Amino acid sequence: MKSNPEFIRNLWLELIPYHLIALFLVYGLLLILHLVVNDYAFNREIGHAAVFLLLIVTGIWGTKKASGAVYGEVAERTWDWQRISGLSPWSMTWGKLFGSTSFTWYGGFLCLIVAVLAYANGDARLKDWQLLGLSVFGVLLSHGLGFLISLFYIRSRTLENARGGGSIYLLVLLLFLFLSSFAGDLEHSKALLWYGQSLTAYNYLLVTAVLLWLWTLIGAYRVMRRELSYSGGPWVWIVFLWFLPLFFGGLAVDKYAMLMAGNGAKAWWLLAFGFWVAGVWLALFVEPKNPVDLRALLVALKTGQGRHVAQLMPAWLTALLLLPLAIAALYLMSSSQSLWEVKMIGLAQLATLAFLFLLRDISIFLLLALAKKSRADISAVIYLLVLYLLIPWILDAMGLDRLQVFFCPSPEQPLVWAMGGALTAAVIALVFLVRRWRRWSSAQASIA
Amino acid sequence: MSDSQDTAMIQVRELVFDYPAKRALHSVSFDIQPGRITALVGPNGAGKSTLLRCLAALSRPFSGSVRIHGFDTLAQPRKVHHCLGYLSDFFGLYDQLSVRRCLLHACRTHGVSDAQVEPTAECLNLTPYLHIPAGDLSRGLRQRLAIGQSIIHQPAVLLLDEPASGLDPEARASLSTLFLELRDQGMTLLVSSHILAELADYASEVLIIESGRILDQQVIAHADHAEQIRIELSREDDRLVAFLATQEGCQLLESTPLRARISLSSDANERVRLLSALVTKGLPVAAFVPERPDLQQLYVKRIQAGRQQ
Repeated sequence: MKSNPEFIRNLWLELIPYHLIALFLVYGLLLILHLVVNDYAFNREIGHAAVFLLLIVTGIWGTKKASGAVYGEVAERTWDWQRISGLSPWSMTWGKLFGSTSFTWYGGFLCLIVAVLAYANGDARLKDWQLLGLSVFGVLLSHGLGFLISLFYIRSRTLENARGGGSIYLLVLLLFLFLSSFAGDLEHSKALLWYGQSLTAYNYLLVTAVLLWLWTLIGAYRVMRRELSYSGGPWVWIVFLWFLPLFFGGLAVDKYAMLMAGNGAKAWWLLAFGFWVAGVWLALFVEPKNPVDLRALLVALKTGQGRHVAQLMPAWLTALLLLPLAIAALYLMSSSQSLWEVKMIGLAQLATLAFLFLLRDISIFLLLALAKKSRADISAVIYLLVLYLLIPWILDAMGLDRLQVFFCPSPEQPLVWAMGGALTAAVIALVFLVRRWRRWSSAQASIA
Repeated sequence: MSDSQDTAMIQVRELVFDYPAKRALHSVSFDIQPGRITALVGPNGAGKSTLLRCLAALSRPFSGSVRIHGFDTLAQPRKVHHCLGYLSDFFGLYDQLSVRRCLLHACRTHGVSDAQVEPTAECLNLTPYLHIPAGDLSRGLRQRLAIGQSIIHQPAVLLLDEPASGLDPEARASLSTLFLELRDQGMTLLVSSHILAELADYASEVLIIESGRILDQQVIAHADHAEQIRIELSREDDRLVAFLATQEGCQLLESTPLRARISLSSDANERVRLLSALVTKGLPVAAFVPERPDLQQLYVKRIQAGRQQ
């Protein structure tokens, strides 16, 4: 740790003796207050309070600190200097992540000591210890996620986005609270089936938290590499896109096998399709959609520079290219029909509809990015809400629900009609995109 | 490839950089030799900052190449970072850290011994302020600290974007002295600035950029090799031009029978010799004045010529 200057710098800024003493005293007073209220019994109730404090202070405040570790540098204009320093991406990643949260972890360790002593002293149940473990990894995951998302945001290099750390913090906070409430309701002994293997819900959640935390570290490291001017392909992103269905699909295979007419593999591919669609959306939001980069990608494609193509490939395109694989797998398994498919169109056809509408949605995002609209992403979301919700709603109210096929996937409509509508929507959006692209390219050529 | 290209510390070839709505650099090419201080001048929005960011391997160009100290910025960006220092126009400091800790942190991030803090502070006249938080420093001292952080690893190349903006005249003068000292230590400096009067104090060549194109790269004065001298006679004498043309090491820049401007070695003995020779020749020398190049004039002339083209 001594050899990481970024970690040391953060310790200089965070671990100020006056603050350390103040936090120690505040925590001590809170402990005394709770002891008085608890009839001076140092038992699991005290332990619960300490875990709660850990979640609130280390979890929430720490996530705010982790999210601000890099965008604070951009806002304070020290980031360029950091980018040309001699630090490795990994040193920069862990130095910033753990350094920026060091003060909150100091408070967290105080809470952990109290919780462990209180649980060891009294009538703690297994569930208490399990929740303590989950809380620690939940906090780590929350910090890692906040840090990773802020790294994505700063790639657009605007101060506005740098200051937008508050929204990142809010997002991670909501996720954190959601996971906390889920963990709180956990029936630790409940058995889950994961690819046929029985394991307790606690174990599954703990492994999930640890693995996702490790992925946030890997993700942050990869984005940091790009920030420090290293180049690299989308390989880690591809591995992550496969990890999601492989890991979470273990539950779906057994849980939804009945729904899928006993075909667990079909459930797995459907889940994979869902994760990869989510991957496209996530990348569309967090990645800069700079037309200059897209043009560089096209040039690399035309000139057959494979390595360059891999370096310039946007993450949304990588995820998009996986989708036909899932659709093809679903078509191959279409012989057995699920309960859903008995009443509606096949899952493979539904996935095709979703894919075509996704092409339309991507085109809208890129169109707005090319139009240089400020807050292009927010505008795109508003357009999509209108297309997916408002217009179909109006059509439905007017009794024209057959026309909904042009705006959103409509599995209840005849297959050919639904497919035709989705294809029309995708083609129209792509034509608009190509026309806008050509206009932009000719404008670029004229100023060159 | 010529020898000068082989030995260039900064080599830029056909560099193109695009923003979504604008081409910022149009096939920019130039070389900068080691040990020079080059002034990068141009109007606002000319592409100076973009060019410096491409040189620092912080922005990826659309096409073209940049080599710093022999390393390609696209293929070996981290090696480039290792051998350069860069100070952006709007830089920040860790305001809560003391000057000593700022420099210490810079040492460690560049893998340099902590012992480098003291000499760097000494070189920048920051020693009395080592214990003061960076946030409490004046603008001039902040500038010095930022430069200190950028040069603590003794880079071969130092890129500075508008380093003198916002500084008072005294701080500017002291910055000029610092740049000359850094050059004497062997660094190659590329300094972007609007303040042409100060640039003349230390720059040995000027690179004029407008609308993303290099209009001119001109050696304005070899501060360490030659300087310009204005010679005026009290009356016209046709022998002046012919005499100067025969003098070794003397380059005629402008000449009439009444006055001439020459480039001559900055060695004082050379000036003494030439002045004596002029007087011995019987030329009525009324003035023999070393002159600074008029950067302002050169700049305006080239910018106007560029716009007419």
